Amino acid sequence: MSALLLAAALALPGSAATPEEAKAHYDAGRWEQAAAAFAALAESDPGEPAWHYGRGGALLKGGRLGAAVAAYERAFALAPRDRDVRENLDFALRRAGEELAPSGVPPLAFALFTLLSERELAGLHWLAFWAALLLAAAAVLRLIPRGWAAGAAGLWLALGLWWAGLRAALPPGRAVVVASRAELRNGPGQGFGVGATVPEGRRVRLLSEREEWLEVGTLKEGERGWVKAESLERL
Amino acid sequence: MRALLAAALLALPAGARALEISAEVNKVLAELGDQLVLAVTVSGTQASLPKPRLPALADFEAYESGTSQSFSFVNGRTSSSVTYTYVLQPRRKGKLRVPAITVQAGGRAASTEPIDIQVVDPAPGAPAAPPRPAAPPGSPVAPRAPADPTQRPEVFLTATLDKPRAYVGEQVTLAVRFHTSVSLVGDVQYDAPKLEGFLTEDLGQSQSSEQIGSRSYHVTEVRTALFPVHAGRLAIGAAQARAQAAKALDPFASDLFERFFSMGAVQPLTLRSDPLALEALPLPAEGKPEGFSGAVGRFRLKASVDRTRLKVGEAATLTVEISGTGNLRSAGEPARPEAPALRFYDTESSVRTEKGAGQVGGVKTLKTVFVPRASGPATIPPLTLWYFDPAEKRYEKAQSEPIALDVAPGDPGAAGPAGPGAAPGLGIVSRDIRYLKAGPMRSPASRALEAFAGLGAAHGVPALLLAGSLLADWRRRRLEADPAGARARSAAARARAALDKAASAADAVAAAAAVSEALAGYVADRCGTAPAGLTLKRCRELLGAGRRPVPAPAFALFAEAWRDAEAVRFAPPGAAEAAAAAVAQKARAALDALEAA
Repeated sequence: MSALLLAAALALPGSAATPEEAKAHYDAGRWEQAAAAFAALAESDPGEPAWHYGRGGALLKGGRLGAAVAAYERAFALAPRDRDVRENLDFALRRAGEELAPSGVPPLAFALFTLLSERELAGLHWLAFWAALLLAAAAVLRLIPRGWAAGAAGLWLALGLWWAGLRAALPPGRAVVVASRAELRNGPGQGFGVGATVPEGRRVRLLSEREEWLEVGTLKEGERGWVKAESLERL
Repeated sequence: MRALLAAALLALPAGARALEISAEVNKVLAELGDQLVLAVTVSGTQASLPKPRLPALADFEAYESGTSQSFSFVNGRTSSSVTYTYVLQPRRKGKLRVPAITVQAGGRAASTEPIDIQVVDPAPGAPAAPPRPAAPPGSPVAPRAPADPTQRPEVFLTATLDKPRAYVGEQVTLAVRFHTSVSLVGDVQYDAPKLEGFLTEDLGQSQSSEQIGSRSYHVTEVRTALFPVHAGRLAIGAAQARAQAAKALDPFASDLFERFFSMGAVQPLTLRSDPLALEALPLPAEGKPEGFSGAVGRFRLKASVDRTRLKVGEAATLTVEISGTGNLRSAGEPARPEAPALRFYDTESSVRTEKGAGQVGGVKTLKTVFVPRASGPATIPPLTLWYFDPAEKRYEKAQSEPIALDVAPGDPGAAGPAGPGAAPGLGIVSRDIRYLKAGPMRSPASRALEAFAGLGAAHGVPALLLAGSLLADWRRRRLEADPAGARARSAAARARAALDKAASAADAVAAAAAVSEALAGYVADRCGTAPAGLTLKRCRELLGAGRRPVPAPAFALFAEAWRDAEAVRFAPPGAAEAAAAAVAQKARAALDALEAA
């Protein structure tokens, strides 16, 4: 019976799942099935943070901390202002020995810095770009005062810097450890010694890649090393 | 050993009895994680000495590790002392203080001086005392054996250990054997060996007979369980006994007086055992579990509650029993269970020591009161005690079974505010992730912004518009800077516009007049002069001069159109209607020719 359920759960990502089905699995404590249903929803609509959020919760309840952190990270990237997303990601990260706000950064400053998602910031940046250039064109034609165009250009510059800063702080080349304890080796192979171990759920930055080995650096401690690709889930 | 002593305690008036207390620790500079031995000695002339009250030791984990008692009979007065041994484990580093310890009896009180202890961080990489190469733990030690047993004296004292090496916390049994083959006079005063670096438990004494060589001895054996508290070579001092033996009557003495006075004479004896040493091995670092709290021996764990059905806010008791062999007093406690729905209070512990078959063991009972915070099923998860089994030389785990609880909602008002005006506080039961979202959570504005960001090449439109405006501004500035040139450049366009107007004139004369004005206007604009009063001759002069002189064929067309227009203007009515359109056509052709030239 359990094998049948598992097979059904594994088959879900390829099939159409509804939010109601995913929620029913979640409410019944069928974490694997709920995670698979939310994964199917996220696959069909990757830009919707609610599906990543639901998948993260099901994975965390099911004991898969690393995959849960990855799912919450995706939800946070799409909906950084949502308090529930922030709370749950921080909850999961604390279990892995990390915190959402980097150490030394005041929580309020981090909350303001991540007030907008990277996509929203990109949209606002381009909107300010349009406004600045159109107002500049109008000012050239002496339709409006030049100060209006200067103000729009300043806003465009500020949003551009914010966007660039967010991309630097949350670069796309990141991953989460999904193995129970990933071994950081001194080179891309089993023959190299283990320099450190990284607990499940820790976020790492991808530095380079060689076959099935990835060079990573931990975000918190800055430790570098090579891990097997199967130990990570890319964001 | 107390049975060895036949000291009689004299009954003295209570007010005359002395009462003293002293305290000492085995070291005043310790590393965090070390165990210190606090020895509190109460002495006096009373038959029953009171137990000291250990003050609250906030900076230490403290537990009692045993007592030892001694009596002495000097000049007809009996004094006794009881030493209470406590093991202290510092909870933090820094300058810690053991406060004054007080004892009271019969209206008298005595107290010790406070003891300051400096606790420092463990030295990184400080090696434990290296064990000497010797037989493995558990090997028996050969007792001190004389070369010839028949040469043993009539009274002698030996001390042996049951093993030469042991792990820290492992039991080692010290046996002090008092042999006598003669009658003793009076009491035997026994001084136990000095023990430093051990926790001790008395194992009692036994009497036996033993034949060594030709002598038959009465043997009293006093056994003490020793538990090393730190690694290294630990010394066990010599045991000492003082007794008086009756001098044997010499039946062969020649002198009668000598034979007479030798009767009833006593010979004082002072007996000492050989000092011993024990190699205390550190517990292996390899495989040491995170929750290991220092228990050495072999233990079992059992957990129970006084009831499994209870209400929110009702108190129940969790009882944990650690049983087995080993020093239970120094055995740590299992970690408190993680059950967010239950609130646990302080734990009280008690130890019942059993010393069967020379092995110290017993049961340590931990009672913890807990109160459910929320209704519904709850579980006290399995409790785990990690211990080191010296026989197996590895760390083992004792675990209890989980306990399921059925918690009903509490009585209404049972957990209400403490009094009028008191605001009830928020009761955090547990932290968990937040629940699912009701549906899609991305706002339309967010979606619109993301869609706008994905426009791609369309983001070049404002740049093109700006470029166009810049170009327009450049042209406007240029016109403003050269009005004559601008007039000349726009001459043809204005003339063509005027010709277009001519086509819609009311009659042929008016149309011809408009054509004439268009042609004159063209020449005036192009050459920067006024159109009024221009003649064809003047036009030839103007168009033939300047940077772009008009070629003759082009001017011929212009002149023909000029004349035709004049002809139509001044022709009789009716004759000019047909020619007006042709004149306009000629004028356009002339303009084209002039512009192309």
